[in-house]
Amino acid sequence: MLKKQSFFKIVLSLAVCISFLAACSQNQEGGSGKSGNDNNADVVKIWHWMTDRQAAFETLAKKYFDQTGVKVVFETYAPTDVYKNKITAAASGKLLPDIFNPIADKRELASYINAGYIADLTDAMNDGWKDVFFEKSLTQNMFTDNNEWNVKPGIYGVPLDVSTLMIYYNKDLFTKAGLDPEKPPKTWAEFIEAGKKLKAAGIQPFVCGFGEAWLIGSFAASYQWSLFGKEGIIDTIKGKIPYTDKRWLEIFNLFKEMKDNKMFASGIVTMVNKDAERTFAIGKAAMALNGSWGVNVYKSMNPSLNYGLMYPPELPDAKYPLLVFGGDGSSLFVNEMSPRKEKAIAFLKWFTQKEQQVFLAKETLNIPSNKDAAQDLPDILKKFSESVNRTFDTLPVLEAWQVTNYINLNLQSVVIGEKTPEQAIAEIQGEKERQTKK
Amino acid sequence: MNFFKLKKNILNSLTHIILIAVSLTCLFPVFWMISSSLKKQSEIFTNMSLLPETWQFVNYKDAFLTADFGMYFLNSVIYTVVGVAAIVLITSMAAYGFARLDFWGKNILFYLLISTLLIPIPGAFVPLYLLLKSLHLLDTRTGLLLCYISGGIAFGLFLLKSFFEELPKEIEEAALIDGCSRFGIYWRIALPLAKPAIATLVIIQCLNIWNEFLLALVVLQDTSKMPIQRGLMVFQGTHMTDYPLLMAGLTIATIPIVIIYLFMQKHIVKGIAAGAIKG
Repeated sequence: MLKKQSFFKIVLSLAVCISFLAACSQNQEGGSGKSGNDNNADVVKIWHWMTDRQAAFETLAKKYFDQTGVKVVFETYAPTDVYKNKITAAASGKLLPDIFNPIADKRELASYINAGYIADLTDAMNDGWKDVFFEKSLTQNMFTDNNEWNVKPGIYGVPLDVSTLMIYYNKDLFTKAGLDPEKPPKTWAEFIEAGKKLKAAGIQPFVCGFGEAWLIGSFAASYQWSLFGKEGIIDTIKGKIPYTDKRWLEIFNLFKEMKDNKMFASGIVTMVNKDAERTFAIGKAAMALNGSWGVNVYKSMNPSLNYGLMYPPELPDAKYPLLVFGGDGSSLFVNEMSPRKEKAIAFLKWFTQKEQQVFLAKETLNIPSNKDAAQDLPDILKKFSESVNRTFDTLPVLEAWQVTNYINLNLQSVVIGEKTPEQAIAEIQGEKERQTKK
Repeated sequence: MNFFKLKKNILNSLTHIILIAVSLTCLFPVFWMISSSLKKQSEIFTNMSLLPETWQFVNYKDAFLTADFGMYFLNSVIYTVVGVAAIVLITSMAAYGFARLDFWGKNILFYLLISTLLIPIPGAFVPLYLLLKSLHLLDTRTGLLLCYISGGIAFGLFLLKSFFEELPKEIEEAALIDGCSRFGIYWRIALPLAKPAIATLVIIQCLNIWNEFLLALVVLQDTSKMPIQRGLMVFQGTHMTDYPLLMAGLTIATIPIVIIYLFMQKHIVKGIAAGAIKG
């Protein structure tokens, strides 16, 4: 009994001692509810989620301190869902840092702006700053006249980089299948023919993380832009063109054709993009639809991977240019309530100039948002940066998310042969009508 | 006789085969973690064997230094020791009270406390954040510890109350006759008898606090106060992950929990079995 008593006494004493130590250490550090928006410290604080860029960010922050004497601190909080939670909680407590990103869609971003959490950067941008960026990269953070969220028109965010989706192809596997590795397929017919040859050589022709619905939707959207053009897409959203239009049938038939020719990697509709990236990186598939971030990912997974880039293949009867998903990337926003707002803007101006952007691009292998910096990039990134001008245009209206979801789900159903293209477009039109009635 | 012996042997063999298969499926991720921690990044995706081509022991050193594991490790030890000790102390006293004392609204209060088990931590982020802000405990170790302690109380109550209720009252009555106080009975008799249940509570809460990360990331901003799981995040990027260093870091982070489990193993089985029958 005595032993047991001693045991509990020891545990209790230990707990009390450590509590005391913990409390002492807090007092020494002055930890009494310090916030991200701390008025006492003359330090510009940035909360971000890009853990893989932290080292490069810190290098630039040090350089900025050496040049200006202003201290900038990058604090990483990842993964993104936790970061979002932190931002939401900090916004509720009015404790946001000087610079942050709510990782939000336009609707959510508008609510942050309307609540006074995000500064309007239009005046600063009009001072020549906006000219350094790819125009597309600015549109994601821009609100136009009469926007549906009643946000004052202007530019609210600073783009750091841009990303686009293209098709990577494995040159060695192309050679193995008797294809010319320097002449990737440009037309749909050539694409299907290449798929047949690859399949005949025992190689899986095409992989992508179609388990992530936005990827399959983005691939289909390239053909939507190609067949309908901007006005046609707007008319579809407005209900003037039905989803049963023959051009939609053609888009769904493209996926069926790929399926009939066994071009898809096995399990593609349940595959997350990480798995698809791994499949391509280890040479288990010859082509992969992926974003510009893939350059970094493939380098890390398999540095000797020999690959090239191609646009999604063109359709012979397309009236409009084929565009790709992308144009936007990571952005940063300035806290309107920050006492260091001007310092934060000054830092971001410096941060997005050519020299810093070239450094960031080379260190992190992302396409910089500064268009001049894109000229100094390795070839593969330069190709990606050229595609920024071929990305989807911004639409003044958005399709209901339920309809978009139906399109993606039905595309997946066609890929696994669960539905015919005719059934798929009829179901989408049904959903569109349901949403229109609401 | 031979038929029954044969039947018994076949059944035993089948049971063992199934158990071995289940064990292997549980152990495989551990083997994979250790194996990957000794490979190169490019090898992880190209070499499917559990044996690395070249053993990269340097990954452990790199992981420890890159992620500043020493500081995070100490923080996690503080959070775990203080948090678990406080949870055990508070919940054992409360559970004993609920099991042995009669007071108005006992059941309502008990179920109210237990119902907090249904609230997922992410759902409580914003209210917790605001509460800690108004208490000036944001970005403090005390604030985070209080969250951990309050988060562990419901489960501890649930586990210990049923255990205390099943203890023979006669021993406590004898102690009362001998002049022992209520607190004396709890401290000298009930608590030592509840050792298996407490061991279970300790290991479960150790696991919870040691592996907790989301709350720490929301509540804390000063990286010098972050727990060990924060160190692991250094190796995970938005689009890419440094698997060898991440796995080496995970292995380092797993060791203390495995040691605690091994020390308390014999009590845990008893505690869980007792809780399962009585709860």
